[in-house]
Amino acid sequence: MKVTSKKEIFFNKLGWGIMKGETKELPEDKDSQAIILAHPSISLVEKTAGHSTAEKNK
Amino acid sequence: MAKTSGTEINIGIGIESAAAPGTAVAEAYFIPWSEFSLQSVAEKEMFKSARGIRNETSNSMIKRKYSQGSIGFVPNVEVMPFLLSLALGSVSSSTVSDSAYTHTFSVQNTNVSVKTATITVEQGGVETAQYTNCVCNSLNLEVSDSYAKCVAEFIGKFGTTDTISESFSKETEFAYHQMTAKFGTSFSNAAGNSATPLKAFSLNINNNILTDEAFLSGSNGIVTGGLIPGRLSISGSYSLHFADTTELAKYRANTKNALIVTFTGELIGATSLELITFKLGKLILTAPPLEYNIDGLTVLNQEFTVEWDTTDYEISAIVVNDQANGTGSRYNPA
Repeated sequence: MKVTSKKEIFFNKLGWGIMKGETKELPEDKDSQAIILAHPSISLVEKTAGHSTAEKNK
Repeated sequence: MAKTSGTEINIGIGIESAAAPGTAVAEAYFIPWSEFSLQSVAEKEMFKSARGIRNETSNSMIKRKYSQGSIGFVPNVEVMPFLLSLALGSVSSSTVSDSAYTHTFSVQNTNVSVKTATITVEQGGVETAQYTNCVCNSLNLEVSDSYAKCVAEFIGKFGTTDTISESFSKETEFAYHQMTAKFGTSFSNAAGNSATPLKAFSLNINNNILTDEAFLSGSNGIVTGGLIPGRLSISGSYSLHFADTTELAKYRANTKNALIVTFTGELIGATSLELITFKLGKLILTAPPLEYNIDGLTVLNQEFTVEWDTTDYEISAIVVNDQANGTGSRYNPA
């Protein structure tokens, strides 16, 4: 899962940060993902419809 | 043995539901603090009766259990909405426009409806304390020739424990050069006037929380929702060079002016900017202002108290940021 951010943010305990406007892969750990996704300035990057269809056809 | 340095102290804040003050909520923002003193207070009362010994006390009790202290920080558009909501009590937020949201804070005159917060304090690896039912007793702002500085003083319930996973965002931290001050006979008049260059500005919003009323029979702790604001007093000062008699005349004639103080930051959308604005209804200048400096400039230091005005009221604050408060979940949960 990839996310993007409206701000430069660093999560101290997770050792994970993101720059403003950057698109970045989330850590694999589910708890870490939940903490990051709860931040109001961070949002999931939605896959384009074309991409999703291609994946379904695999 | 674990030891804790100051930089290992992480502070999170979240505003509690108006329907359930004192019920802990998750941290919505982590405050990059510059000074901090909030902690649990176990106030002691000594038993001092005569019983044939000279030592002045032979028993004691915990008279009151609560939390008290302050958080100092540099104001930015992320932290200020939380503190302004707690200090003033009423919030109205816009929908998104050009990627920005406008949040307007005004005085809640129904004083039993004070907003409460959960403040969580991670103290290195030793303990993470959680203080619920925290009300803002006072909020101070000071600006002179560097970063602006805010200090919020809180009173809340006695601490329990919690865990946190903190994050910090990079914000526009406001300083004197991003501040403008406009005076006028009213807000509309002031908004149209040129900015007055100030040497310094300070503002104090004091809710005068009625702490004594929070302790009732059956418990030595604070009753949930029991911290009630008293009379609201808003005061402050501003100083400027003595270049004409305009300001001196205001003091001498009790000319009541409105004041709009604005901090302007970075672009949020195409044209919308980060903003923190304080609108003060009517300033009553309360102290003789001239300060003579033999080695420097003569300065007018105007101390003021804010008077309620029929049109402009007493105070409102406006913050423009990129955070939605559409369902009232962030700054004024129902």
